[in-house]
Amino acid sequence: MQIPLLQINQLQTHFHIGKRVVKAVDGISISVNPGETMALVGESGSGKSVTAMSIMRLLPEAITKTQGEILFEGRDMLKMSMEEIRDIRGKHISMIFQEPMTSLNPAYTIGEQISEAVRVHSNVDKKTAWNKAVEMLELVGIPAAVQRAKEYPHQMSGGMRQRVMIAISLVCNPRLLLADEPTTALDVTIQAQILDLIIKLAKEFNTALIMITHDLGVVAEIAQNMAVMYAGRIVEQGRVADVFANPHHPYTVGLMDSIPRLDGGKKQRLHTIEGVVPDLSALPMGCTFADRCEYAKEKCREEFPAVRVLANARQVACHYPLGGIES
Amino acid sequence: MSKEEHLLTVRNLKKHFPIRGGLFGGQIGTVQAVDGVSFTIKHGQTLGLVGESGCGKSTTGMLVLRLLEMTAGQVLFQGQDVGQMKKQELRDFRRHAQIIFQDPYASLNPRMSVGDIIAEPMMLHDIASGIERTKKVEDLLKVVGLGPHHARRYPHEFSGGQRQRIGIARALAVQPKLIVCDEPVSALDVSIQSQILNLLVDLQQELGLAYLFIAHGLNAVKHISDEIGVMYLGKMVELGEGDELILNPLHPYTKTLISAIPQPHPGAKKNRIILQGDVPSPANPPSGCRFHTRCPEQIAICSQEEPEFRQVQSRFVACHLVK
Repeated sequence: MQIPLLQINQLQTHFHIGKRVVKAVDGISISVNPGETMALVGESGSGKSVTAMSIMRLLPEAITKTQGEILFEGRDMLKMSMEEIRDIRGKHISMIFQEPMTSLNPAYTIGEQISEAVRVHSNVDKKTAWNKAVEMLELVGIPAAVQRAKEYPHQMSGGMRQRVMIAISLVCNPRLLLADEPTTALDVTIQAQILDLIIKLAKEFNTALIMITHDLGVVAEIAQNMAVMYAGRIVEQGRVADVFANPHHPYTVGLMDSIPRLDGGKKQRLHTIEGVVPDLSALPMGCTFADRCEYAKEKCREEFPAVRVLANARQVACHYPLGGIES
Repeated sequence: MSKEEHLLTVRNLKKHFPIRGGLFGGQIGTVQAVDGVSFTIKHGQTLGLVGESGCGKSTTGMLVLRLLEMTAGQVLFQGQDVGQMKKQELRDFRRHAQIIFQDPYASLNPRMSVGDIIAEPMMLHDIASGIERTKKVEDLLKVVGLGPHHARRYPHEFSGGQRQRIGIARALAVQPKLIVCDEPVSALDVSIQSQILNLLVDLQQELGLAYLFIAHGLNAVKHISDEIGVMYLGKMVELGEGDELILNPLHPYTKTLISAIPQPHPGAKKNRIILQGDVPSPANPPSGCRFHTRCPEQIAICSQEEPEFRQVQSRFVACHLVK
């Protein structure tokens, strides 16, 4: 059996704000094998970005309480010192954010920013690092890379900036890339370019990818495995083809049915999930989705559903799962 | 087709913004945000406008309502020229044509209660007063799926989806015939998006509203529109019946746009067309066909001559390749 590159066990990330405890992530477990792509899907406030930030240890420590295990190549990242974490960040695990403008430093040229990443993690001189930066820019498809390396972020378009971010994140050949909604701020034709680039490079560098997105279309196109998050918990996970073919959790079903499809009928009623996401600082006792679930029964409001492991690494957290598995 | 069928007729609409600069702030160029766009909307129907950022779709929406003054062209609402309207006529026109904005956070006054927000247009247009107005506000809240008790609350107490409902109630307050919906669902989560789309469809069927539905997401546009217009860099490149346009796109840009959307079908065969480069600047658009710099099918003539926006069977398209 393959050892997973990243294994998260029962991760809890709670924020203590005044007297309130916001349970942003509340006991999730996922594992990602080398070279594999896993998609984390969910709506705003479901905890998908907080999961990524917890892995990178980027959350403010004063108010964050993290429990569980984040095993990267067998070592628990939650037990590491900040120094060890810094060595992993950027070199073994790197991250791309949604907004490329705010993640780049406006006061440095893009060449400097890419070579900085190289110089932090390997012992090379400036010239070598700069050449590596230019080489990366060519690889991510920036024309006239030698000149563009001397430009500043504001001189580039959104798509170009996201390419630069990808160059920075891959320059040290990391084993895991966390991409947090990398194409949400981009136009569709540019999104297609960037998705294509990420898939191509992840394959070339044999980098595993955790793709955070709210777009099921993106999931279907790039991921092998997926986990659906709702209110800080994973409600369903499995292979993408299996989950799409036969979703078990009512939330997954609702999510899939509520997107208007290009092959759908005109002005046909869309499926809706009534209500809104619950307040994470006052979660209900039972299933967090029960209030919005059309199949909810008494048990759902009283008892929290445990994660059930099915065949093919499929998991679902529901008392009354759909799609032909008995409850 | 008789003239009365058209609620809105837009002919050759243009908006050029001056670029000022230099030592004395003189005009040093123009941004051709909208450059010769024509379409019609029938009573009770929806025209969807799609395109990427900077294609001029939102500007078109603003021009239709005369929230921006056009540079050239004509907007006819029920046969009346909106561009020529005087103050009072314009007020009357705005009673019949309303707008819903993308950002439900920025488009509601945080210091007004929801009841006041919805009552304001009625006040401005002298529709109902006193108890009758309060009653109407309650009815409108019910129509958009909120309760009468929400009238006393303030915008910050509502979620994004609920705020968008308030924006819709405000637009409906004057019983308009046309609503310009400028990216009404783009800022919302998937499950909330479908609620708002359903609401818009229901309202259209009940009240006979016409929509100019502006969005960059082709899926939502396709869902709600009778006709779809595709814009690129200030130009309309293709216009036609919705289903037909999606099934059989004629313009290379429309084809690209459709193929670029990730579809939720894992393992489906993908013939994605990946465009090279970015959208050029509308301050300095390419010669000839504006799409030729990125077009996978371009031929020699494309860079020299601008293609005419002409009718091909039931469709309008601006491309040299389409015969």
